[in-house]
Amino acid sequence: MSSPLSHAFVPAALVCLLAALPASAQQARLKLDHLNALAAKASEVVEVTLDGQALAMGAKFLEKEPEARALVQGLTGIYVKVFEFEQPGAYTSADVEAIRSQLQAPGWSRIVQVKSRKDGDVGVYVLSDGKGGNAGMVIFVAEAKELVVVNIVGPIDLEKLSSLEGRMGIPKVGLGKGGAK
Amino acid sequence: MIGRLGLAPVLAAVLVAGVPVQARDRAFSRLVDRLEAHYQKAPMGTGFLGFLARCFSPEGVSGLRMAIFEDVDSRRAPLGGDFDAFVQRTVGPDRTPLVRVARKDGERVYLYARPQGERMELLVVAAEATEAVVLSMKVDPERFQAWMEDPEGLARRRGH
Repeated sequence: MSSPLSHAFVPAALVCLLAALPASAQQARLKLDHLNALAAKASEVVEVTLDGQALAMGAKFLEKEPEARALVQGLTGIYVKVFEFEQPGAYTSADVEAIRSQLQAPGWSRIVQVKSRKDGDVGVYVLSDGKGGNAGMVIFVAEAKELVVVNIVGPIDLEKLSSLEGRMGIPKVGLGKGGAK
Repeated sequence: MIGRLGLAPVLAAVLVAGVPVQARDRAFSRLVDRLEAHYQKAPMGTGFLGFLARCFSPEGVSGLRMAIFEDVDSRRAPLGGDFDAFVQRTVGPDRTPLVRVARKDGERVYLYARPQGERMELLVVAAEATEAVVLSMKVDPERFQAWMEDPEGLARRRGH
């Protein structure tokens, strides 16, 4: 039996199911589509999208590194966008603000912030899962001629995160014991 | 009559042998065909190169297929963001590139991956002003990692 009512029920049920997901799972993935417009101005764009099966496959390459493998297996996604520009001023404060505003939502907290003329603005943000752990992370680097966003979705052991630096598109930003440089 | 009876097993064998070909990544063939149509140029014959690549490919890599377009005019193919859309449309909407690199000079690199049992099927597309390469292969992560750690030792054990 098929009726307009039953057709309407399916999307409504889906919306309810999505609403029932932990808020952290929905918030941990940033909306970065607005950055796509920067591609036309950039001298180089690198995008890494690792989720679902791709992430599971990536974990297989870490067979002999159990610490890094365990870290990856708990994640649901790693998303990286890197834009390099020939001249400063290619991206606007609105581009940056669109990211920062998402990181001001409840649950997010900044654990590292570095502002310098040389290194630009570097921020490391963590999303609390409300149970003492975390549900996601963002590493955000805004330099004069470079914009980098690394969005890791899923629970992360910050102590072990440095084992993923330089892998799976995650740049080396000095996440070791000394914190971000 | 005898001829027909004799032909049946041959046909059956050809059909059976054709199964793996059917199971191959069709995106590779589609990409090569469409790039060939755009560039109006066939890819370089990779017969001997393919043979060499199969002989000397890293441990854990199989089913290597490669198409190299040389001395092409990239302006014949879609440019910039249109090339992104062209590749995505040809590969299929169900697959997202794991890695996409785009440079202002027109260079583009795409890496697609999907699981095939215990192995990973990789599809790489790289295009620049006068060249384009499409590469398809299957990788066994464990064997490949072992090779990465000790390529010489594995080669010795294999008698290379």
